[in-house]
Amino acid sequence: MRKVFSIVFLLSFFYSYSQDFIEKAQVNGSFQLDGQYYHADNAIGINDSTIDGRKLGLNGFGNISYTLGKFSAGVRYEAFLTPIAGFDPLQQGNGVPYMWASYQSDFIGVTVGNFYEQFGNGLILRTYEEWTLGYDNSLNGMKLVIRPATGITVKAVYGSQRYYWQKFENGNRGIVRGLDAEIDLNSTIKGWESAPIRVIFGASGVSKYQKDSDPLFNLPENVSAFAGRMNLSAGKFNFATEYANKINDPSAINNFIYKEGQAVLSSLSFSQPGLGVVLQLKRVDNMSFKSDRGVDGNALDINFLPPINRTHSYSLAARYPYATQPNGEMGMQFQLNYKIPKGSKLGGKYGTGVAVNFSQVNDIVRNPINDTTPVNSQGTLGYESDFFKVSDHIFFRDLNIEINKKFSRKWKAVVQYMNLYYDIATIEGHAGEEPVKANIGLVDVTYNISNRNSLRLELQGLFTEQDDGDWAAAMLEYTIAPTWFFTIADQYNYGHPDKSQQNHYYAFSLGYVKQASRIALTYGRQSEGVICIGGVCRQVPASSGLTISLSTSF
Amino acid sequence: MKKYTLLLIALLAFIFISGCDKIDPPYVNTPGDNGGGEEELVQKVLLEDYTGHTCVNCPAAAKLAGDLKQLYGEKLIIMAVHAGYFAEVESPPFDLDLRTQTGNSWNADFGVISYPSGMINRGFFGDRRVVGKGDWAPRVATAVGIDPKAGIEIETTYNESDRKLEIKIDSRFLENTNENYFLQVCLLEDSIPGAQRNNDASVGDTPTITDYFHRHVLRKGVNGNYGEAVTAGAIVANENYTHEYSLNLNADYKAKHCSVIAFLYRTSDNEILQVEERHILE
Amino acid sequence: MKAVLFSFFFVLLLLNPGLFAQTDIPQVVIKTLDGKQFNTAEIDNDGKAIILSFWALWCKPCQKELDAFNENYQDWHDETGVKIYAVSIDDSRSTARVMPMVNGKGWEFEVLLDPNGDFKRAMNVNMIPHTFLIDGDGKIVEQHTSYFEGAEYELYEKVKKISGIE
Repeated sequence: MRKVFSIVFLLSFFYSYSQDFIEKAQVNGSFQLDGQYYHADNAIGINDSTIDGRKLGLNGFGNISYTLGKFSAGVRYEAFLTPIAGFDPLQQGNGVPYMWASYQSDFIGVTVGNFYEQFGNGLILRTYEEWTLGYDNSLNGMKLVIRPATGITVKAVYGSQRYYWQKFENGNRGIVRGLDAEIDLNSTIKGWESAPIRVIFGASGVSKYQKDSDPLFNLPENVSAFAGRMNLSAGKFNFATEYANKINDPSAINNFIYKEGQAVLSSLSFSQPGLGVVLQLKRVDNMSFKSDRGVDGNALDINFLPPINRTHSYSLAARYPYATQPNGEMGMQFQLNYKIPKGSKLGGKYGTGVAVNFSQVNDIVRNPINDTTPVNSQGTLGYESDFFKVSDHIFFRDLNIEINKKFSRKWKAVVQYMNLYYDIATIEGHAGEEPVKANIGLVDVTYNISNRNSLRLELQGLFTEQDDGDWAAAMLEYTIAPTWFFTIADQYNYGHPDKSQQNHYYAFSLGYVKQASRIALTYGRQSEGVICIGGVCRQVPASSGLTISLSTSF
Repeated sequence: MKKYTLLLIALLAFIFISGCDKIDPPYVNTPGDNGGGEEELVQKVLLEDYTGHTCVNCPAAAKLAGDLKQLYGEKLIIMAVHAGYFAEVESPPFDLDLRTQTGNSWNADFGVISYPSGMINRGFFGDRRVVGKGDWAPRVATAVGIDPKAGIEIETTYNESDRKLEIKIDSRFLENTNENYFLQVCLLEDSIPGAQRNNDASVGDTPTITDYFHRHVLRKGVNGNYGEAVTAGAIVANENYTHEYSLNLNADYKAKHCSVIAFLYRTSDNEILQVEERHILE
Repeated sequence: MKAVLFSFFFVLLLLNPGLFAQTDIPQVVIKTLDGKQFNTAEIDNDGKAIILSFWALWCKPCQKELDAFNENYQDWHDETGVKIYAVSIDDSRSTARVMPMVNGKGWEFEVLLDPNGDFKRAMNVNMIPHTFLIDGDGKIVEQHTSYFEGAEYELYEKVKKISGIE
């Protein structure tokens, strides 16, 4: 079917643009290759049998797209031969998992083939890809976008989702259908264009179909979810909220319970030059929504439940990342950004940036549906949960303060303190392990030797009694703008309770950047850890060896 | 333009009102008639549950396997393979080692990396071989519905005094075939007491069930990790192929909980054609 | 099918190698900070140069680059009339924090939201920061990935060049 569509598209545009299709067209693309060569390193627990002959991991992709006026088409080739350590073995393979053609005008847009789409915050539908995680849940089908009047957008999508390299056939997974409408009142209603309040409403519905071939349960073959959202902005204030509801959707993730699901995400912010404050609240209850009820890994998600805590960039601060618990959580997040003005006593010549961030996520309260059924029993309604009740069980808490200061043209620094509570038993599935309570401090100092040459030193410490104990990290980077960088880094797990595992994880990197091309080489050790992007996390095993990363766009 | 909007909203309403399956109780199907054991050959199905004592999600999977067993009775044979990270020996009470050389090599060969995972007759079902528990039930349902192409009979003699176990297995195929089939024989022990990590309150205590019984545990590959060829030549329909084994039951194994499993698999893709189980004291 | 598509691109390349370059800005609908839809075709600066930079809250070098731009923005704008657009690729876990952060940092340029990476993909951005320099005719003349201290001076030299100021 896809073949027919593509041929029709290609033919129709050849016919109408036969003179222009070479001169006026544009072809763009990008390319990336990440490779790792592993070697045994007994000190950090990697021996020849862990490598098991897979000495080389190579993940690569190439994108290419063709645009001619309102028409565009493209393909992406991917090869994971073999996948880099930590990627799902199902990733192994090569081919063209992504191929599309589209026509876009002001009134209508049509896409056939593979596509990415998001309704609102994604609470009931979001397809996207994260190369660094090996995550891709793109839809393969059709997408239609219509803008019947200024400020009104209606989108309709249907298709099947990508599951690594497995073709969709014989109903081996579900079909997804969705509709979304958004209205921006200020653009639609005459006279409201410059009103002091800006109002946007949106509504969406998604339905999935998957055959019931389960002998134990009487399963719903069509599962729908609905969401409504609103965005209000008035002057310095902005309020946004989205509510989503899903009907009974027993699945491997929720232990086959028939309860309905809910999610709410709200934020209120105030900001003016030099000051920004935002408060976010979230509740998730039984809201995992996948196009295959049997899948329990990081794949085939129809929706996206955003974790709202801060995503840290410094290595030790990012050591314990949080991932949304789709079966239930209640969270809040507060952030304050303030710039102490230039010329004031604390602000100095350039001003000083201060950021305070706090987030906490707790479990929801689950009460049994009756006296005889334990909470969350399969084949029942599962549990009852009071919308406003918060459980005492804390999944995650992060308080961090960051100060950003430029002292002179030569010197600047970032200082950060962070206090963390991390329920490793829930988040990483290490049952019975004590929650990690950690204090993390770091300093990042930059010294500009000249306009083009600069040195940057990062010192970090992570102090905890739990898990692997204390860590210290240091990194020195030398850059020659805009082309070269060299770094030398070490992470030292000096507080590991097992003395034989108090390892150094050293690494040397160098890189060269020219325009949109970048090549980087790293040699050294990588400690075991978790990488999370969005709600998806990937366990990265310890490794030792040479890493190469090549990327270019044209 | 208004017309389009109305049309689309109507379409939306249509899709979502028609696209909702609200299920009313009862949610769980009650066990039906499993069919008699009167027919000469019954297709049986092997569910392999890859598990470990520190795997928090595994008790729920074991319970699901038990529920399926309730539904399908003797047509479903369960084998729990303790292997991988969560089966490693740790400090007490997780110091019980239920791993086997056979289980470890299957774990590696079939690329099991997450737990619980299972295989149903080691088949792909047009998709993947190793699947999470959510896919077990539909696959078992498909697999029991297939017409049998072979039959296995197991006879066992167990001598309590010297713990010697004699096993005799007769395999019979209904059609001639040139494909290669192997016979794999395994020893299982049921209800081994031990501790188990758990996060499902509806199955037992969390985070640890101290008085857990590990069910249907693979103890030994009786004829190696991959078994042996049914016959050296081509397989002839209705011919009886007999294999005999004898072994001494490990002193730690409780004879009243031990059983023998035998299955026939095609060497080209490892898919299981037929499986049988017999208690050693029967 | 794949073979057909690949050979199609191959033939195109043979016919006109010059078309293999990012020149025009693709048209994609993204959002402004207050949630309004924004067509990237509207990225415009009355015939003067534009700097377009992709960034995110979780990307430290991106913020360093934009801080550096912000420090110089007033001077650059006065001299060349250059306009800066900063496109945040933060997704819904952090879009709500973008505006407070932008204001808290005192950034004075246009900030746009690309929460599902549609514009990022259309511009073939693999890694951020990724900065484009666009001339007065709306053509992309330069692009650069990564940010190192001092790279803004080199970029500004190029801005001056395309603005006809040496």
